[in-house]
Formats: sequence, C-alpha cells, structure tokens
Amino acid sequence: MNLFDELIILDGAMGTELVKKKAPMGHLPEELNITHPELIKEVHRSYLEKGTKLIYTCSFGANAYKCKGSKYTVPEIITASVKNAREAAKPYGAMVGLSMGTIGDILEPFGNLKFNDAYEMYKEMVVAGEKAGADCLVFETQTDLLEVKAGVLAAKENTKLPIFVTMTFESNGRTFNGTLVEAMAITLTALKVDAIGVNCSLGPDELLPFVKRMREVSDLPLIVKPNAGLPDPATGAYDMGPEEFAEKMVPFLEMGVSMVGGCCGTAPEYIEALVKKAKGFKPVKPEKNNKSYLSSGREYVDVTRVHVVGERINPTGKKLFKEALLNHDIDYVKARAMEQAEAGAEILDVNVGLPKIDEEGLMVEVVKELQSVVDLPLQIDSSSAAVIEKALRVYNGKALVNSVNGEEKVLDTILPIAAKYGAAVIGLTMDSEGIPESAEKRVAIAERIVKKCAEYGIEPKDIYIDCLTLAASVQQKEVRETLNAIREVKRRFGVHTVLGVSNISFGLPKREYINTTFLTLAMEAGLDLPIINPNNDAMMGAVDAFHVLWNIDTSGNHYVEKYAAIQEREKNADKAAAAATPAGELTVGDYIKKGLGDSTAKAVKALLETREPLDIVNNELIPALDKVGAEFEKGVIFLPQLLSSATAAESGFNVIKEYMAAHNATTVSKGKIVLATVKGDVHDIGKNIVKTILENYGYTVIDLGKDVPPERVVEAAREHQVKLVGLSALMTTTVASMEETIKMIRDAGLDCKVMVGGAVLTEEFAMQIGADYYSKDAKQSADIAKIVLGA
Amino acid sequence: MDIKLDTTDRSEILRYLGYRGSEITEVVEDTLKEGIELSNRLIKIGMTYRFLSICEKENGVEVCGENFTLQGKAIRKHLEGYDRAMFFCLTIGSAFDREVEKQMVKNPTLAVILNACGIQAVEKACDALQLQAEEETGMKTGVRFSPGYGDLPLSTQKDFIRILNTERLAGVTINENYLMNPRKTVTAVCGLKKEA
Repeated sequence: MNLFDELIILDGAMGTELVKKKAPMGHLPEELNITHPELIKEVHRSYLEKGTKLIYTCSFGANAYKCKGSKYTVPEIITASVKNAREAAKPYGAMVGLSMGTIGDILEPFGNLKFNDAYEMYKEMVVAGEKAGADCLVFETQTDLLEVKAGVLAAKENTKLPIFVTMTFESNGRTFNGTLVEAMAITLTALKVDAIGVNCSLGPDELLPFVKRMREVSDLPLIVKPNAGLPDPATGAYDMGPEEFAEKMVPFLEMGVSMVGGCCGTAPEYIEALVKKAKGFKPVKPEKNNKSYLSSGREYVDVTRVHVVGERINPTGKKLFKEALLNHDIDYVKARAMEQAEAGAEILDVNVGLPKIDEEGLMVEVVKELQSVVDLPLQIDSSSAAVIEKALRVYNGKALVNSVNGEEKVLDTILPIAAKYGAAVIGLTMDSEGIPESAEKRVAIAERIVKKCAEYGIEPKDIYIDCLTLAASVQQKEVRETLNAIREVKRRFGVHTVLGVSNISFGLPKREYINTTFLTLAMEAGLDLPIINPNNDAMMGAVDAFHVLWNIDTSGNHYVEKYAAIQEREKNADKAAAAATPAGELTVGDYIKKGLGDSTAKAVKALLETREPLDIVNNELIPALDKVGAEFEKGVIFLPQLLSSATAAESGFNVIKEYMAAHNATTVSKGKIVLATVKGDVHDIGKNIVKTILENYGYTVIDLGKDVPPERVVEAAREHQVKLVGLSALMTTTVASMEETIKMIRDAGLDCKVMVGGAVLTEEFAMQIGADYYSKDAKQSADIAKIVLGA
Repeated sequence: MDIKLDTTDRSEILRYLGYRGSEITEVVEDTLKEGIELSNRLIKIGMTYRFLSICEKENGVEVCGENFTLQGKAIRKHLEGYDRAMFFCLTIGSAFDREVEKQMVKNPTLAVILNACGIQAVEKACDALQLQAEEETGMKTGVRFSPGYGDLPLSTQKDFIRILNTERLAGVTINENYLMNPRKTVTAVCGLKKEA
C-alpha cells in the first residue's frame, strides 16, 4: 500500500462500544472474539458503515503477559480477532490492522521484563496475525520506545506486513515513559517502519503540535487517532461531540496526514462526521528530509553544529576503568556517563572491549543501564560485528556505529547491520594498508565508503567520516592533510565528519595547547563531532567559543550564560578559599563526619605526601567510618548522614585508588563481596545503600543489580571466589526467591557465607531460610563483612 | 493536579529517613533542600479514580458491577457502614524513579532523601485528591486503605489496576509480584458518605 495515495479513515473506540452493546467485560475483553464473535463484528460493522476503511482488530491486550490465566492461547485469540474483523470488513472492501497495545510489564532495568521476552511475545502475536490474514500490524498506545523496538523487530524478522506505530503522549510532549515526540519519530523513521503517529491520551487540539513536530523530523506517513477531547476524571466522559471532534481534525487533514480516526470517547457518529469533513483531502508527501539526527529513547540531537562526543567510556589506557569492567562495576560506567553529560557532551562513545571479557554480554548490559540514567544518544564502539548488532538491538534510539573503514570485508559485515537497525555510521579513512598520508587518498577511501553505504541504503547524511588524527610529534607534515581531508569530504560527498582529537598531541608536553588549537582548526575545516574528554574545560571552551565566532550561538547567549556563571563561581570559590580554615586544623575524620567530600580528598592528598596509602586507609578512613557507624547504630545520626560521611570517605578512597593506579601498585581491596537484589524484586535502594557503605570500608563489591536469578548469583560467587554474598529482598513475594538463591548457593557447595537484608525480613526469618547472617541495616553489613573477611 | 513540597513537609520527610532528633550537618541540610527542590521539578502526577457502589459480604466487600471483591476482615471493618467508595490510583511519575536511580550512583545521600521526598509527595497528593473528590461529590472520604494492608491480599493490586484502567490513564503497570511501576504510586480505596 502506498500510504501517500489516499487518505485512510480508521475506526474509533472499541471498548466503550462493547460496553454499550452490553458485552460481558471480564478481565480480558479480547476473549469476546471467541465467546461473542457477533458482538465484535457488530462493533466493526458500525464503523465500516460510517466509512472506516481500515479497522483495528479487538486484540489490544492479547499478549502472553495479559492473557496469563485465560482459557485461550494468544494465537487463538489473535486468530479469532482477525477472523472477526476480516468477515466484517469484506463486504466493505476494507482492510484489517492487527492492534497491539503495550505488554503491561516494564522492561529492564526499571522493570523485570527482558527484551527478548518482549520480542517473543510480540512475535507470537504478529506471526498469528499474519497467518490469520491481517493486512498490517499496528502497535498502538505505546509508551516505551524500547518495547516498541522489540515489537518492530519481531514484526520485521518474522512477517512481511507493513508496520504502523502510534504512541501516546502526555501534555508535555513525552510518553509516560519519557520519550519525546521527536525521539520517537527519529528512531522509528530510522528503523524504517511504514507509518508513525499518535493515539489516545489527549484530544485533537493538544495532539496537533506533536504531529507537526513529527512531520519536522520524519518524512513517513502519519497516523492520528485522538481521544474525543479530554475526560472528566470522575465520570470518564469526554468533552467533545462528533461535530466538534471532526472540526478539530481538519488541521491534520490540511497538513496532509495519511490516516485519521478516533480513540477513547469516539464512536461511530464521530467517524461519520470525520468522513464528511475529510472529503477532498489527500495525504501530502513531504519533501525529503536531509538532516541527520541521532537520538536516545528520550532526547535527540539534530546535527547542525558542533556536538561533542564524550570519549571516557573506554578502558583503553585506563586502569581503573579496566578494573571496574572486570569487577562488573556498572555503576562506575554509569558515573562516567553522567559526569560527561554534565560536562556538556551530547553523544557518548561506549567501548567495553577488553581481552578475555564477554564483550557482547557486557555491552548489552551497559547499553541498557546507560539508557536508564542518561538521555544522550550513544555511539556504539566495537571492532566486533556481533557486539555492535547485540548493542543496536537493545538500544532504544538511533545510534552511531563506531566504526567501519575502507576495507571491503569490514564494510560488508558492518553496513548491513547499521542499515537494519537504522544507525548512522562512522567511516575511518583507512584500509588494510593503513592510514594514507595524503588528504587525497583519504578522500578516495571516504568515497569508497560512501558508495558502499549507498548500496546498503545508508544516505550520506548518516555517514560520519573520520579523517583520522596522527600525532604531530611523529607526522607533523600530515596534520594539514587531516584538515584538508575534512574540508574535501564534506564538500564532495555531503557527509558529516567526526574526529578523535587528542591523539594530535601524543608525546608532547602541555598537550592541552596542541589539542585545543587543533580542535579549533578542525572545526573551521568542518568538523561536526569531535570525540574528546568533555571534562577538559579548555576543549569545551573552544567549542563554545567557536559557536560564538561562527555566528551559530546567536548573540552569544549560550556562551554568556554558561561562562558568566562559571566566572562568578570561580570568584566566589577564591573568596571562600581565602576565608576557609587553614588546612591542618581539621582532620580527615572531621571532614568525613561532616560529609565534606572535596575537603576529605584534599586532606588525603596531603597525607599521601608523607604516609603510605594503606596506612591512611586503615588509620584514617576506616576509623572515621567506624565512628560514624557507631553513632548511626546508637541513633545519634540518621541514614543521610551516614551516607554523606560514606561518600566523603569515598572521595578519599578514590584519591588513594588513583594514586595506587598511577604508581602501578595493586589497588586496595579488603576482599570481594557479591551483592544482589533477588529475582522478581526491582526495588534496590536498600542494596545500593549497603553497597555504598561496603565500598567505603574498602571492600570490592560485585554488584549484580536487581531481579537477579539464583544461577547468576552462584556463577558470580564462583567466578570471583567470594567468601560473602549479600542478598536483598523488599517484598514478601520475593523472599521465596531469596530462599531459593541460598539453597542454590549451598547446593553448589560454595565456601561462602550469606547475609540477607530487606524490609520484610527478621533475624528469625533470615535463619529460617538458611542465611548465615541477618543484616538489619547497612552499618551491620559492614560489621558482618569484617567478621567473615577478617579485615 | 499539581503539588509541591515545601518546608511544611520537612518533618515528614525526616521521619521517613529515620530521623530521631540529632543535630543535622550542613551537608545533609543542603542536600535536604536540594532534594525538595529537585522533587518539585520531577513530580508529574498521574491519576485515575472512580466512585463505585460497594456492599458488605461475608468474606469482604463486593464492588458492584466490577466482578471484584475486596477480600478479608480488615477491609470489611474499614468500610463498614459505607455503600459507596472512591477507588483511585495516583503516581508521581517515572521521571522521579529515573532520578533516584541516577543519584544512587552520583550522590547516594541525595538519592535516599529524594526517595523520602517521593513518599511524602505521593501522600500529599493523595490527600489533595481526596479533598478534590470531596468538593466534587459534596461527600466526606474516609481513611485510605491499600492492597497489602491487614488481610487484604497484595494480589488485589491487580484488580485496582484493571478497574481503574491505570495503564492508559496514569501510566501505571504492575508486574507478576504485584510491584507497581512507577515506584512512587499508591492505589487505595476510601469510603464515601454524606456528612453526618
């Protein structure tokens, strides 16, 4: 079907019509397809009679999660729903769309639904729907872009049917889950679905600006299915009648959307009125959109100026990062991401490649976790095609793939993956023979890449050519070649450019001078995405200054706002420093007690000049924590104070860790402890508090996260040879999985103790389910660790 | 509905944090202030409610026309003498959870404070909703009662979610262990009657 040919009139609400017809609405109205097929067909017919050309099946909640406990299987319900719709539609020559709402559970990491399970559930529906004869697949009332992606992939990989997606937005232009209108449109356009749009939650007036915003960033056909205005929360009645509704739909018709219908509160009379208004209107095919966008599941970047790519999520040359990956310390990675976002990065490069590490598994986990805490688009960085594909599958936006080069084999492996998932791609101007010296030869490689991309349907706007930086200390002559190549590839191919900047100063003192100058030259040459450390003020300053001088930051508003504030802060900091207590008057212990992280770090740094790191840990940091811990136990201080002291101590520990890493010493650890919130439980604030405390007592915590299956706990305990496992459960319903986990640890014959904690547990109950220790709070977990690990 | 936390909420927030009256350090004091301000930027109330007829049954309270009985002695006692009740679901939204998750990595002190602010915000919003309902109906609402209280099974949560259509109207879902998402969400029932 060409969706720009004819305007398609959709149907209106199903549920309320069924209620009007006195259908027995049980737990799962979709069962009516089997128990009362005539009723369903009657509703379909009531819309078809008024002029609906595409009806949605009554299968909104017919997924495996919501059908649990039903007498009928998902395929049975789906098949019946398509059959009913088909039979009703036939005399009218209308089409049938298989309606699929949300699964009803939340995906990891906020919920415990696995991406693959969501995929399987949608697969079951779409396969049955195609078999039963649906004309298209409709994902509607969706709120989570990642769930939509699972559905879209299931549809693309298992059926040949056209895919429509409509999501539901709140008045702030975001779904309940936080997806911005543009982020949705960009991601789904990249995924090459057939039509996108909005349904439910709001009336035509409120949805109009959102649909216009979709049109701005996407050239796909649009679908609009609003509610009949806004509901009265108490009665549930909507405030628009059929005529008013139809009148308010006219602006959508004028802008040329492809499909219109109604959602909650609309009835056949609404569609009748709409059909009248729609006479003479046709969809309008928009002009081709030549902008390049990148998006996360929530926000988007419109690449029209310089955008900084943060380079810090990468273990290369970073000892602490490597260690964090080996210890499965995902929080460390998350912290680096948040830090860069705060420093002004707009895209984050993500590389977790290390020898002897399960890069696929780790990359998937890191991508999932990062998208739960940062809103920035990700740049998936790996040399392995399998890793890139796995990451792109679970990424909820439009990513950038780092990278391909001019080698045929690499291009033919990576490009189909990027094309399939709608990612933009970085092309390095090098090949099997290395990096050519001349700009001309690099441009020639870029040309090869661009041509190859075209074969796979990747347009120049989504290609980011990296003309490669060589160290000025080694290849001084070639610095200008890089800059010339940037200029040339942009001019000739209409691509974007990306560049790792800092290599330029390799081997030189005061690298910042060289880096900043090179960055500035590269921006002038046309660099769009510098890959840099956003924590470097001089580099960020160069980017901000460039935007002023290039008349991109109009009136210098952004620059003035940002740097006036910084200037002010610096002035105040100087004053504060001048007025501060002279160093030496307060001890590390005092700072920790007051929860002053920066001062603790400074004091520890000072101590490191005269004392051994371990001496400071054992005789300053730990005793200070012990003291606060004892006060917490006695009820003298409360949880936020304990935590603020613990994080202050952490600042001290970090100084020690960095010192030891820099001096090539093995880092301080008093032993490893595995922590997990048990299967089924997704509330992990308690476990995280325990983690903070244990880490600040010098233990290495292997944090398995929440909703952790027993096998994973056993596996981790074995792999890391830990002597202590800590399990947390919040709900009575999940204490059973705690018991199961303990049993599995015992059955595996592991020589390790188990401590448990959580709101519903008691000492007695903990012993009953086979734990060795009951930890009533975070402080006690540190005491237990001391007993078990003897440190 | 729009609710904001302010200094009057401080003592409740402190209570949720286990505060027992010691001196509060400057850092924690500042973080408290930050937590309240941040909460006010994050709270996005989603809610849905219905007024339904109820009648006492031997094993609990039946909700008329909804294929649903509230099981247990506790709820029967709680709704004794009422023939109507307000059922509602109220959440402060998923952005709040996301921020707690973020701060747990960045600033755990702020994370636990935010968490307590979230509890207080939901409670405050529930109070406001009850008041609003009283104005709408001209009736008085009783004390809230939620699934999991007394002998009312936690699994009743599922029926609340269903009859209130929370997924569509408030963005609230429930998992197999009856945990709701977003986390700072309340479902409850309270009796409704004319002022005596």
